[in-house]
Amino acid sequence: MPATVHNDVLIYKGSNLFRQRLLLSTLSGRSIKIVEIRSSHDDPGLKEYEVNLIRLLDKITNGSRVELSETGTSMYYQPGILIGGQVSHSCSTQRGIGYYLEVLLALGPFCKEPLNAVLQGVTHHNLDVSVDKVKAAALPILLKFILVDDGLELKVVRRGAPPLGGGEIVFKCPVRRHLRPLQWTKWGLVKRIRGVVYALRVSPTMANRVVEAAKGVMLKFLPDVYINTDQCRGPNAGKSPGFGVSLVAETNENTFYCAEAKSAESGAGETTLPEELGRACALTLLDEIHRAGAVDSAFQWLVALWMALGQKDVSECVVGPLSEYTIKFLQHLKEFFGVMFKLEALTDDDEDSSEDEDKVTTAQKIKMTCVGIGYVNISKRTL
Amino acid sequence: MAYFERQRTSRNIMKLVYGEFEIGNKTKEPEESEGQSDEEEIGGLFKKVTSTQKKKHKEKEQLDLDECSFFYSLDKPKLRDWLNEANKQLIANSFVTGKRSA
Repeated sequence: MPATVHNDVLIYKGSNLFRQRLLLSTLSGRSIKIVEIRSSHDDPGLKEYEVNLIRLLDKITNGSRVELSETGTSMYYQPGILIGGQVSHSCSTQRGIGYYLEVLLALGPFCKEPLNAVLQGVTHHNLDVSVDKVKAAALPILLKFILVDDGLELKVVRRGAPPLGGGEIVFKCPVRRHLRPLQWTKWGLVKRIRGVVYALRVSPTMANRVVEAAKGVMLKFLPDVYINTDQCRGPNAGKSPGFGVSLVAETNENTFYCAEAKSAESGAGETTLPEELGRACALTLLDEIHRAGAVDSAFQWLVALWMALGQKDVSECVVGPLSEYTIKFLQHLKEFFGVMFKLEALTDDDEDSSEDEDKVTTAQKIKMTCVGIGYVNISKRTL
Repeated sequence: MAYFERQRTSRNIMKLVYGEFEIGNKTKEPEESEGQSDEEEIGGLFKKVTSTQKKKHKEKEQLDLDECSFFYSLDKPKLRDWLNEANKQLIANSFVTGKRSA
């Protein structure tokens, strides 16, 4: 829903897309007000994980102002200056670390000091990208924008499954004065499949059974499949039992698709068979490969953000079908920065696939083009 | 999958994304005129749901959804069985082992 503007403050309704709005507000320096946050729910107001996100933003900025109403159903946020630097944060266990990590990733290049963040919490969550996925699929995207990798790093120190978590990661991100424009229209062919299976506080055979099943599916398409197992022991295994898998498909043009699956939470009353889990994950990965595009579908919005904030130059990127989340993000980008993307559906120009049937079933590709707004990190001096 | 359909059928992606925005930012919500003439009563008992009401209802449902950046965000995806021979052909050429393009 479009925002209403009042005294240069963007006013939104509802708790949906809370993170997008705070993130863009911080980058653009525009104040926002969010009203009617779960106002008609039994449990009204902001949830713990959202307050936790505000805390994190408060830690990496200087001079942010947050005003919450007494009931917590409306808030006002006036962003400060992005500082970055050393941050240690214990994330809410209601959401995964990915929820917070994505924000840090988006803000990282624009901080004053290189970001060095230690995040604690749940490393794998159903609603959020896992730390493995960020490491495998998102960091290569950022590399395309900053070109030189001086200290971009994500280390999984400990894993932690929901509900109790207990995982820990270290994320380091260099700063840039401005981002490079991006031309990324080819993604090539999948050349190898890699993966990690982790088993926390469960029998190690679980991991092997997952590997077996996932590998069985992927080997039908490609011989180069290698799946690691990460058997965590003692304190490294977090506080709750669980197991899961993330598979990465790498193409010969350096595009990474990543799919994940994890076991149901302990105590939820369901049981997850490792074989089914492995198979489900492999099928999700195949689906991702079918949708294709130069970036993984979960990170379309990150690409859009960095393209929009790039130098005053044309960036273009071809992605698969836009996710609902990306569409919302593009709308927000327009509201906060006034950037509008040119979106074109590409028609298949494969000469050899002349059958009409083939055309109907291939997923649509969308070419996103925009001119960067020339966002400059004023804290970073040119040498 | 319904989502695929929608994106495919909508001719113009620009409109799908930016459709809610007219050119330039809206500064005020459009005035709502209560009791419009399209509020028909059927048999004096039921009221017909107008499209604006439907849209409002949909917006309300979306208001407090949990935020999730995945493609199939909150609903479980109905994936195709990619191991089926016919489906397999669709993606076989996305791999280096597939048919070589000239």
